[in-house]
Amino acid sequence: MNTPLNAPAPDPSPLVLQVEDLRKSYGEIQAVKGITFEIAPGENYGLLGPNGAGKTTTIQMIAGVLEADGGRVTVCGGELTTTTTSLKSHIGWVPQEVALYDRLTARENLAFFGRMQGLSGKRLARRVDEVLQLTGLSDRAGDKTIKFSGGMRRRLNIGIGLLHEPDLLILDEPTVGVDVQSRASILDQVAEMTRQGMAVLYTTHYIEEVERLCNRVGIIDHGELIAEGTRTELVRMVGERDRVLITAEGDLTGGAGRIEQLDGVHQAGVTNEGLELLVDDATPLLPRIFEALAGSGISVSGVRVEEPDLEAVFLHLTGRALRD
Amino acid sequence: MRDIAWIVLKDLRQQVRDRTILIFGLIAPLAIAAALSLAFGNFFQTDESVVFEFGIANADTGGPISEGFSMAMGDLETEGLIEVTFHRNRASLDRAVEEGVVDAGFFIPHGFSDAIVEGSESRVIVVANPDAPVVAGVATSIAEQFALEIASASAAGATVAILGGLSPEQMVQVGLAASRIPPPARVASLEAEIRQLDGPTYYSAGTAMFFMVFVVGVGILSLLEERRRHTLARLLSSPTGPGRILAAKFLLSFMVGVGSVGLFMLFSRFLLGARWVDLPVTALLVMAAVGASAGIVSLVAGWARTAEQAQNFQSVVAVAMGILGGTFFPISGGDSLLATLSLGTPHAWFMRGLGDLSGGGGLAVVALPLAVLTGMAVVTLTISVLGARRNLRP
Ligand SMILES: Nc1ncnc2c1ncn2[C@@H]1O[C@H](COP(=O)(O)OP(=O)(O)OP(=O)(O)O)[C@@H](O)[C@H]1O
Ligand SMILES: [Mg+2]
Repeated sequence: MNTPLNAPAPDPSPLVLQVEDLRKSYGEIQAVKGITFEIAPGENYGLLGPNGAGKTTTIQMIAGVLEADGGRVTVCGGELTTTTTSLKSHIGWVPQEVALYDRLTARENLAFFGRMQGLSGKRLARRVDEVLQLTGLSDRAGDKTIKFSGGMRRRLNIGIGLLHEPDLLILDEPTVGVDVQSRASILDQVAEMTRQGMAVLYTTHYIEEVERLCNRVGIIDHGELIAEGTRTELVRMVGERDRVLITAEGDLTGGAGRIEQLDGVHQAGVTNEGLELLVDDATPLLPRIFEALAGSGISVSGVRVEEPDLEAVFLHLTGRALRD
Repeated sequence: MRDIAWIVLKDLRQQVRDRTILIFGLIAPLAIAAALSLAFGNFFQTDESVVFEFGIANADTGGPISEGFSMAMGDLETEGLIEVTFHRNRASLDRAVEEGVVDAGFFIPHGFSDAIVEGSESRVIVVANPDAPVVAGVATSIAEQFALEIASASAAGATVAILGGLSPEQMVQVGLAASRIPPPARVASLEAEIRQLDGPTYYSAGTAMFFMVFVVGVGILSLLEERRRHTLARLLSSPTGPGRILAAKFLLSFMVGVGSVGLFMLFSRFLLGARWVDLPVTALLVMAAVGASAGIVSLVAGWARTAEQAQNFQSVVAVAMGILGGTFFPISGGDSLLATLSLGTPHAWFMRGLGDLSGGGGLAVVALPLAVLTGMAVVTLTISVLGARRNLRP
């Protein structure tokens, strides 16, 4: 566990974050409509939702940047509002938009925000160096950030959130607009933080990132948390069925009929390219499926098995695709 | 508290690298000062160029009081403040004034001393040229002061009249003009009761105020800019807290404003020959004027939706207050609408404060302008701080 700065001794409560019935409206728009969830120490929680779902609004309230209309945020046992300054050092917030001073160097940016977090002296110097190392910006530390590439700015943006070694790291779509390499290195960094015991709240609309990083996921849509659980738990919601896509030619209708007779097959349909099957577990079934196809004189040129993912979960819950 | 200092330091560093502040707060006023000193060098250098020539015709020969007047004038001449020529009679004095041989003249009538001693009424007659109202004013002031000295010495009613080819209306005009135009420094300093700034000091103070307003909004502007660049949200997520962020921004404005005025006053002292007296009280006036200007600019700029818009608001306020406040030409003093409006600007009160202070007297003589400026600062800063709070969000 990290030692928080300027903070009262934390409550023995095992939770890093508790969000209860959080609400926020912008005029007519109800951006967040009563969201409740919790994060335990060392947990990596993914908040997954499409554009405009209310992820950023939720996170800004948790970070104590935006005043909530209603509800409660408890961080390390204390209730956090925009004015409870001491609790804020438990949180490292990385905003969705890059927030840096263009005319200051990378090192000056880090030193300034470090001081705002209460760091000083040797500890500040050490943390600035460590973060420069971690973000791979050591050799550019003396350059003004206006000269940085988008990816470098993103990395520094994340680094600032890590400076004071918070108990809870909140990342708001940290990989948007970042090249593949930077993205991989950002994801590695976050994974490393989690390994070191830091709790993470990670928002994104990239399923791969959530599947790779997070042990628990909340799916948010239209300002509401519509489902929550581990990946396996969520996937079970759509029924644990695999989708088998077969590219084939021949008597497809006859083949579909034969396959549908097989145990463990729920559905077999004809598509433009061949057949699409919905099965309980594809792996043990595949030999029997090929047998049935051969028996119908169908020639197969390709097979693809899709296990259900969070995309399917989202589709199942909302009837819409996650990405527009 | 340390957070506030770090924010101010960070902002100053950014501003210096941005250069806008340097240009408006320092370089532009200095360039203007240099240009003014080149253009008006002769006009401003009162020590050498503006030495008034006065003529005296004394028909009260041998009278102790009239001789005293002539001697006093002679003393001023030895000090190099004026030049004095003596004329045989009234007619020759009138001619000298008319022909411009002297700037103005004093005629002391026969029996003047006796009349004063007896306690009856008599007059020193100021002969002036209506085309030279400034000199007329100066001459009248000298005569008035002389009359006052006599009055206090003898308790007799000595009075002064202005003559010399002036109609009654012209006399009124001369009087008005003379009361408005700041007489040159050295002569004015003889006149403790006419508290006016000399030319270089007046324009230096005005220029300093004018340019200060262009930079004094830096706090509120940088707040809007930080909001636009999302760094404000980041600050708000730190334990620093919204109150200290606001405090830092207003402190930044204040420091930049005082720095701009202070540096310009320092440079104008050497470049333009401005005279700054009673530094502690002047410093109080500067701080109050900067506070009031920061409040007004922040109030107006705080209404802006973007940093660019706020910047434009600031410029409009700067120019409007610069004109109204009499930094380009004197406005205060009359009772026109403009003069009344000018009382709404910190500039007018600042100039008035410096004017009041120029004759000495310290804190007591600037009590009113200082109180008005401080009041303006407190009211406008309070409102603008309250208004700025709505910008303290992501
Ligand atoms: N400052 C604001 N003023 C008005 N409406 C806002 C504001 N910020 C967000 N909204 C609205 O609130 C809703 C939620 O926005 P939010 O930014 O929280 O979504 P998000 O899930 O973070 O989206 P994205 O993936 O695009 O970042 C949207 O309808 C958005 O238009
Ligand atoms: Mg967002």
